[in-house]
Amino acid sequence: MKTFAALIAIVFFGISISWFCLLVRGANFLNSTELEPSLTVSGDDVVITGGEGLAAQGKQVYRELGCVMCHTQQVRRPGYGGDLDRDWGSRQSVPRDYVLQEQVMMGGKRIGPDLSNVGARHDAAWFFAHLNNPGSRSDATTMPSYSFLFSEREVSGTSAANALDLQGNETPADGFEVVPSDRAVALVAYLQSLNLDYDLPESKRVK
Amino acid sequence: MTSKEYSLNSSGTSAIDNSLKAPVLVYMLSGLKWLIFASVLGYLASWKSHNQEFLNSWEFLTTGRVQAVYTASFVYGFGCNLAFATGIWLTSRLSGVAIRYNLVLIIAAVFWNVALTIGVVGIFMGDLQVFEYLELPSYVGFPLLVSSLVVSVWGLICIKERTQPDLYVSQWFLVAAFLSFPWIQIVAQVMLVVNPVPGVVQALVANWFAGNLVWLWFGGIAVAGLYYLIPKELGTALQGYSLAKFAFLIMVFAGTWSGVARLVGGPYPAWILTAGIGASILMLIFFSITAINFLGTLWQNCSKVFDNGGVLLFAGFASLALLVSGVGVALLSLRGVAEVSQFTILLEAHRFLILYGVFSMTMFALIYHMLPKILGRDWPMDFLVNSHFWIAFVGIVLVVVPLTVGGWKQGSAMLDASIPISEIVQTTSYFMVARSMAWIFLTLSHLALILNVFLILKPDCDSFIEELTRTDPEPGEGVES
Repeated sequence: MKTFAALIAIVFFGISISWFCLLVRGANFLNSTELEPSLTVSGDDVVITGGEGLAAQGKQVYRELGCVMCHTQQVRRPGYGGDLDRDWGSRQSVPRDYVLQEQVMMGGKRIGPDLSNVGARHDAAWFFAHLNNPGSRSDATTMPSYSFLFSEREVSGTSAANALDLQGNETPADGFEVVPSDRAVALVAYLQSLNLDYDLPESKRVK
Repeated sequence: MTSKEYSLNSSGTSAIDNSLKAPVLVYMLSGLKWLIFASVLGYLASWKSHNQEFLNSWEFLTTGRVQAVYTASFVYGFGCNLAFATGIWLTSRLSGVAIRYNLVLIIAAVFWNVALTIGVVGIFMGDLQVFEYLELPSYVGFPLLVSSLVVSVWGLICIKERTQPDLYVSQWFLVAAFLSFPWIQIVAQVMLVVNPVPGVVQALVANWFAGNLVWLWFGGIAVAGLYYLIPKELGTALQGYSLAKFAFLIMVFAGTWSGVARLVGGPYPAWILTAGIGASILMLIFFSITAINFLGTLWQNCSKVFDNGGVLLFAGFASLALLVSGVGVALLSLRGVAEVSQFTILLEAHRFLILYGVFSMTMFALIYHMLPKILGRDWPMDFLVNSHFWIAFVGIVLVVVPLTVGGWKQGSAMLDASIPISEIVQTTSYFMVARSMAWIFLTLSHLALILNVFLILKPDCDSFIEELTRTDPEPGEGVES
């Protein structure tokens, strides 16, 4: 029976050490005051948020649709990978960028581009058109259409401000327009909020 | 700790096998049902990755959700049910203890599968979570934990009450698997759901969980199976058996750290990543020892492997895949290699090799080995066993080779900013076509297995149905002619 107890102890000990060192110590390190979300960097006040309002709702749409299966949200450091060369960001992502996020969307696969700074690259109209029909905005893409987030309806009075500007055979019939749903509006608000346009002491913009 | 795993006395085993029949069959059949479901979803997910128009009008079939459902049903449906079935069987068999209170295990099986079904429906409805192997909605985490806890406690008690004082190597790995699985589930529940840790620590927790799920739980059960099957089927002792204890210690002390190596280059403290890389390299000791134990023994009995076929082919392939994926663990953790391979489909090829090439192939070997023992009859369509193997072999090669080559090309192109992302996406998608072809082979191989399982169970089903439909005019009187 001694060997059984020893065996249990070894396994218990093994898992405990790795849990304690990697996760408990790791969490303590990252929770330390070093990672204050509001600070002053070379005279500018920086306040990092966890995403609020419409963007927070849009983040849930991002999660529900499984966007994270093909898109990461982490820019690797200069000299490691081609992230900065591809203009996916002007600086690397650091732990402080995520410190107030209740759910991080790091992702593990880049079937499509990294989205850490996608808000800096496109405007709302582009996002709507891209989500409705990715092929209309990107040359070659394997991204599926999210047309179920949009609906076609009759124009009442003047056409809606966020109605899609569709060309060619996508053009809706006369007197009709394609408009984004509330979820699409929220999702685009979230995508537009993705922008690491501030300096941190541990990561200065290089571009 | 000697290699007499194959010398259990036969009168004892038949009572044990009878007591095991119900729970093992319930877990195994649930697992096979999920395997069919996962095959369809795997094909669908793969096809959608290179043909974005395919079945895309409904939100519930959007690419991200189909992929999450595929992973969840393969890992928790097929993988865990089969790990429970074979874990229970191996534990009971090696401990020489007939199973008691098997109704508890059956209730746990029902609980597990109902919770998982709810979880899969939840993903289709949009309740999916964001980390690999943690896609299931948070509300099924607790029921799943309770079920696995029941099986684990039962397994550990069974090992504790074994009839012989020695513990076999298989039992060490079973203890590691049974102890680690509920443990990592508790950590994931507490640190990600009950009291979520902030920011990037979530990714640390998720990758720690994934590494342990793959190596301690699935790896533990698979290695326990191979330590049992190979000497038993060959009727010979394992090469270098005395080294096995070092393999076990490395698995427990380094394997548990290796998962975080995937995060190299990301926004995490450098010492955590370095620890993960170090652990991944140390794991080479584990893979070398298991290669000596399994491949060394099989090599010496090479002719037997190919003459007998069946179980030994599956076990042999799993042993080889274990070595190859092990070299992969160390290589892919290196910073220079990870710079290319990170975020590419190469990592998918690697995980597939572990979860399918090593784990699933061992599970198939165990099914082909144990069902005839439990039921007391041979496989009705013997030739289908080898057909299953060779079709699966083609399928695995068609996933692993193209995704490895394609992933490396994808990663190298990503480093060169002059190549537009659209071009990389296009090139990568060609390699995924091979994966879709592979799923046809894999599904065929699964059908071969299921046909055989159906036929071997048919006599039992027939007598069961006969029992149900028997019309006894005067109960308690006479025997049917």
